[in-house]
Amino acid sequence: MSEDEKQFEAAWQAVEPAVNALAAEGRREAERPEEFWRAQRAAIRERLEEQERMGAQPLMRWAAALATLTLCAVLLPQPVAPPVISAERDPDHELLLGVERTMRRSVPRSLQAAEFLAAELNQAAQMQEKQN
Amino acid sequence: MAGSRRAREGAAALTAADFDALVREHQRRIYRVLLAMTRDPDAADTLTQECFLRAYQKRAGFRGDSSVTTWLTRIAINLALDHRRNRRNGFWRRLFSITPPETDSGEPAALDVADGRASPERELLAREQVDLVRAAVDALSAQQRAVFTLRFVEEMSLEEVAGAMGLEVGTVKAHLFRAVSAVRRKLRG
Repeated sequence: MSEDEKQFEAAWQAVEPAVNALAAEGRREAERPEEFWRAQRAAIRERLEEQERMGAQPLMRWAAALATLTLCAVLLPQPVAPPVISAERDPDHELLLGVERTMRRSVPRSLQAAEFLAAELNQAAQMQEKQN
Repeated sequence: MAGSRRAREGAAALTAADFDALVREHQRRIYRVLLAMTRDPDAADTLTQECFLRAYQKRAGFRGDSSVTTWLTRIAINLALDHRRNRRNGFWRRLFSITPPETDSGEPAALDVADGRASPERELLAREQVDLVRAAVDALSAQQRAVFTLRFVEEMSLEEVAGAMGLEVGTVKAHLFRAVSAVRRKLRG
């Protein structure tokens, strides 16, 4: 017997009764009525069945998730482009163009008739001068 | 060799129905180990369930090198060590749970230390000694405590303890020596 083993033997002899008592107490503490063991087996069985169900379902879960995503993508409202208002149909723009045209004209619209008459008179006078 | 192949094939081929019989055979032992390790009946119950669920999940990986008992005990010990690591407040719980077990009548259970003459003084002395041993065991490291529990509560051989703990027999001996020395110091006061 080595020195270490002798030391262990001596230590063990000193504590053996108390350790054995503790061990016996530990075994007693773990004693449970049959109902406890039955309930524990039922709980294990239930969790096992749940695991089996979950294990068989990952493909189904992936398929369901994919289908949901596709459906969401289809049903989500598409982004609507803002309406393009053409310049011709824009009343403000048309008004602006009208003002611009008016401003370019040398004679106001109200005097157009007089301008026309003056031009006619000028033309008639020039023709008379040529004839003379 | 053939036996270990049978054990391996047996574990791998276990169905949920067969597994119930295995649970029935081993649940008391696993619960006892876990209760000794955690000192918490609820945790021991939960971890026992977890132990069998893990065993079922990993049944294909059971190589059959050891007995089913050693294999299950190893899973249980690992769960207990994880549980202990995860419980930062474990110290306080253990501190307050050092109480003698009660019998149906509510009295502390009688102890085996008494040598037949169950005088109140002798029982009291024995009670004190057991409490001291328990305190010493509670102060051990998780691994030493596991070794101590398997060797003295479960009465497993050194080889079985080594197999369940994934340790060399020499390491198991060293843990036991330290544990017994710690208990002796505690008893000497």
